[in-house]
Amino acid sequence: MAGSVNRRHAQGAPHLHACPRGRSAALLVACSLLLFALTFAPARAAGDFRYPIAADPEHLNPFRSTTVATRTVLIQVYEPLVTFDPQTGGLKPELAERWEVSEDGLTYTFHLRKGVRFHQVPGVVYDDPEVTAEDWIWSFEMFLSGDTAISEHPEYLEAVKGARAFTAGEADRVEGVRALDPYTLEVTLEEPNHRFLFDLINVYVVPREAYEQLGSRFSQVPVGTGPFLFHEWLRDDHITLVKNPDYWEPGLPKLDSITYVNVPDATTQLFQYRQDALHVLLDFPTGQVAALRQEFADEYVEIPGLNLRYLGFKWTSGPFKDNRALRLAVAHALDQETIWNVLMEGARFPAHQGVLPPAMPAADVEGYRYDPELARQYLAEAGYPNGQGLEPITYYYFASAAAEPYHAAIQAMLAEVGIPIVLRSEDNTTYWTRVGDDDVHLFLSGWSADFLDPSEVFNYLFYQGRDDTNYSNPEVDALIARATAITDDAERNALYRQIHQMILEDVPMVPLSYSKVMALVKPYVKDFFLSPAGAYRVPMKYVALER
Amino acid sequence: MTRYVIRRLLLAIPTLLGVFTIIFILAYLMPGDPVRAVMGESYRRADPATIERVRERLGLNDPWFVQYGRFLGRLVRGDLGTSYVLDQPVAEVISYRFPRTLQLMAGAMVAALLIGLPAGILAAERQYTWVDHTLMFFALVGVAMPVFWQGILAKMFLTQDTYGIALFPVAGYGDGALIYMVLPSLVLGTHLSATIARITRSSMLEVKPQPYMVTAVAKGLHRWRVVLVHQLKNALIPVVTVVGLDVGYLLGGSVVTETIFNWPGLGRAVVTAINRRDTPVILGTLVFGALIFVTVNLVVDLVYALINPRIRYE
Amino acid sequence: MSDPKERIPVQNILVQQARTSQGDELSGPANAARFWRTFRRHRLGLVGLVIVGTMVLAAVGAPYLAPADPLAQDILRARLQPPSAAHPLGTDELGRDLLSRLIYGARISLTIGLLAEGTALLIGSVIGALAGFLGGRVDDLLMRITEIFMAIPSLLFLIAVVAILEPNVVTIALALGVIGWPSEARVMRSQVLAVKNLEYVTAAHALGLRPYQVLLRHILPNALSPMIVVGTLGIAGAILTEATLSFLGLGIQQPIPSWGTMVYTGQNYIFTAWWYAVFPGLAIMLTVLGFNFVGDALRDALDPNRVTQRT
Repeated sequence: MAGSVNRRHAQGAPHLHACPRGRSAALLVACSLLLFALTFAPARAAGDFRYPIAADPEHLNPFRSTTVATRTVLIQVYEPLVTFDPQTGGLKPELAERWEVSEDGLTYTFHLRKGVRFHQVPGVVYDDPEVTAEDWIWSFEMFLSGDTAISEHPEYLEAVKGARAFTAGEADRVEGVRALDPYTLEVTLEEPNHRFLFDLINVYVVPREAYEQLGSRFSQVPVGTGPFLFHEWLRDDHITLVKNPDYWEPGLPKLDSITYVNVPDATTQLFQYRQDALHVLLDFPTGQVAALRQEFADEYVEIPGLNLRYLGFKWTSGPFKDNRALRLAVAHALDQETIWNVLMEGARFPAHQGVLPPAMPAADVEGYRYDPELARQYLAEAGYPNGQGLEPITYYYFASAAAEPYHAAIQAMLAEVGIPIVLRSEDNTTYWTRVGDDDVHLFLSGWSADFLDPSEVFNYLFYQGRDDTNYSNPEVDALIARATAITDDAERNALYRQIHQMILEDVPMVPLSYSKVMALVKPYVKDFFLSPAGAYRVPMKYVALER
Repeated sequence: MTRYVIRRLLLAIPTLLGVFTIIFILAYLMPGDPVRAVMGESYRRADPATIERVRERLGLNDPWFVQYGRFLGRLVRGDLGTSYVLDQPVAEVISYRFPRTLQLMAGAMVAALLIGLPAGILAAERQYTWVDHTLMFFALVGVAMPVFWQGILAKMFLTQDTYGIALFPVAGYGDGALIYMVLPSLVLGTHLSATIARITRSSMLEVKPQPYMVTAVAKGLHRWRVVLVHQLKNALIPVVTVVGLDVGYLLGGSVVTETIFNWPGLGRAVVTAINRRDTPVILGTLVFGALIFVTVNLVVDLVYALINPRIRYE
Repeated sequence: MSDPKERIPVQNILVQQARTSQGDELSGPANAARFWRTFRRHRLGLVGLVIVGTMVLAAVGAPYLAPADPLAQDILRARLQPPSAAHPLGTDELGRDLLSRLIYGARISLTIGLLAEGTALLIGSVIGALAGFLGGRVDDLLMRITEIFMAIPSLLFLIAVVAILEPNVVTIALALGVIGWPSEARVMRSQVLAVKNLEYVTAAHALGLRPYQVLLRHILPNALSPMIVVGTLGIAGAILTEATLSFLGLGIQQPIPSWGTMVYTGQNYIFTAWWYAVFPGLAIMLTVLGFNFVGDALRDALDPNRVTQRT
């Protein structure tokens, strides 16, 4: 019982007096005026490129875990020694002007570009802003740190001699890295590794001063050497980068700024592209791919991508274990044409070849063709004639693929030959945690290669049971390890072709489709070079707006 | 009254502790490894040793009671912790997003009042005419329309040249420009405006036969003056209550609205955090939300007593 | 979106019940007749009854009413067909008949609505009745628990629960009930409080009835009508929340036809096949509208003091 309130009109009929009607009316008018005054969208700068991002980056710390969302922004702010050539998909020099590799394939000598300076941003003071070999050594050591609060990517440089000892805290410097002079960096590997240069694409040079002076803000404020400077980040809304006036490459970048607009939903992205609120469209609403290709015939561009979508079998447990015929029955029951060209309206390429995206070397082997009759034969051979005795198998897929329409179609196609399945979608985190478990026997999965080399697929999906299929074949393991160390392209790719055949013979998965990197690009956007690794890899320094 | 407020605030402590505990249990039970979300796409490429070190750093290997105690201990000291994934303190997440959610809620409230009050007054004044029937029909439809469905329709018809006039931007925050607030506010506010219209109407009708109304009319005051001043003023009490109670609903409704219109608010952050198993953010934002809820309830009760003097604090 | 059911009606009921109070309105033929007379005059209530009746009929008679198998695909010949004689509401991206899927979808929505609200009513009634009847510390404790559940946004609670449990009709409905009971509890409590100290209850005590007998025979019947109203409106709220969950892609699993999931997938085709998202959306709206109409009419009809309004 707290005290009661005594107020003027505690009793009796409500008091009558003039209500502040005049005031509220005035307020209403003021509100409407304000509304009209602000009715026009904020004016946009002419040299500002509006680029859609489907997910807000988790952070912008180059040492911490990278997702497509973080990389999209990071690659415009930070630079590696070598980078992708947007036109060939191969490698080209970036902050290293050139490099030499020793005869034995163990020693790489990088000759650094001179006159490259770190970004001048508020709150960071440099002794000398020019990038030298010492900066590279510090950055390498940061990447290799064993403290996950600093780096979550020691694997980029694990091929370097002494890297593992450094990460484990057994050495206080990395044995294989040294500066011959301020502009020459020498890196020695543990053993020959043809992937090393590719892995360097994600290893950026970072100014020690920024890391130390920005403290906890370092994860939100990227400072590098790239063509664009970080300007601002409103989480879940937009990130703005502005032109780096001191950029080392003359005449670049051509844009004044880039605004990364957060648009998680593809239909919304399309609405905004139509409204000219975006200069490119990168995510196509599932049901409108065909219609958009027709409507925007002049703005549509596509190149083959590096992503593989596959149906995985659990190699180590369940009905598919040691039952190659059952795996083949599934493989031949799927009408890929219908799934990818009709249902998905050509958003991806049906997988008629093997497990490598077609742009890769060693990709041209024959895949599993659609043949329901053959599937039925294999099913009988597997011990389940017409599906008799086969318990329904749960097909797991992840929430971000849930809006894609083919799951129920796959269910119907498998039912057609006599294989019963139950669909089960899980949110992404649960899916990726669960899918490796022994009680998940059939699952939809995907893999994105970062560059055009078969090792990007083989070393992760078919090596020592690393993938969620748990597939492992000692013979294949040995060949994959051998191929990684071969530096001669022709010799290695011949071996990869042999490995590819062996894998398809084992049927640990059914390749379903290969990605297309698709975009709608406004006609006044010039030099927007799509990369096979994904639209996020477009080097924005070449892009220009010519209206 | 001060004692009443203090007592209510003290009672909020067990409520918040309860919310904290339930949310913790849910977050703990959710399958899926937060490290997967922390590592993102690099999870499948990472060395198992790296993954294990991340798990150890985040304290995910500790038993549940140690984790519970750690979160609770921090909370008591006013520290909401640091997000697993965002590399950012949870307090920063809230201080950045809550004002934006508040802005959206205020917009919805204004939209709801601007639509609901006049509609309710008009319907009461024209009781049993087609005006009344039409308005009340729309009010009922407004309550029944799913928010996401309204969002789709609003985007289709109010933003595109193809279908009409490109009146409003499709989505986004637009640095807070009012034009960006219109559609989300309308969509979030529809439900409330329909409710306000119905309550206003019935409340106006209940006040109408009261003696002081008859007096006002007898005094020869202009009809609309009587309606808008005397009748409305006394009819507002239930409306205020409903508006107050609906703050909780708006807080919940903002989750869907923010998702549809890419609004950088708290609701979206919670959904993302749940998807990523980012326990510090889930706990911090939801306990904060509960605190707001409790506070708003207290304020509603106080305001209610203020405009209705017959109510006393118990 | 939190429960819409926590809103309007509860307020009105609380206001009204303070005025009305006792009496078993539902007992006796005379009262039943009056109830029906009042209800019938509520035109929108009749409309609501027709809508709800249609939905129930669709749900129960789905196998007989649906023109086609809701799961039968015809990708190559019938994909995304506009409404026609063969497919009155068109087809979806797998060539499935939308009308049939809508009819079967009524089963999902109604089951979830009824089961969720049943759970909420059960929990809410028990807690509300105990709180009101026992009062004192028990009341304080139970009201604290009620407040805790009100302070957790139901949609977010659901998202967490479906992550923990497999999202199917039963788990979603139970989860909805477990988070949705506070408004029911509050109404029940206010009902019990309103009559607890009235003469006839005191008399019952004096006659030597045990407390639980007093509660069951003399207090609870009084709460029946407002609980029916809250329940009816609660069904609408539960249907809406399930649809929202499915719209976020977290609800009922494919290929089971759930209206919310249909809107979720259909919105991708909004420019090329408008019917796909529009009809399921309309179905959700109509059903919710129907239950709300019935709830409103019930409120008027069950309230003896209320002057009947024709709306």
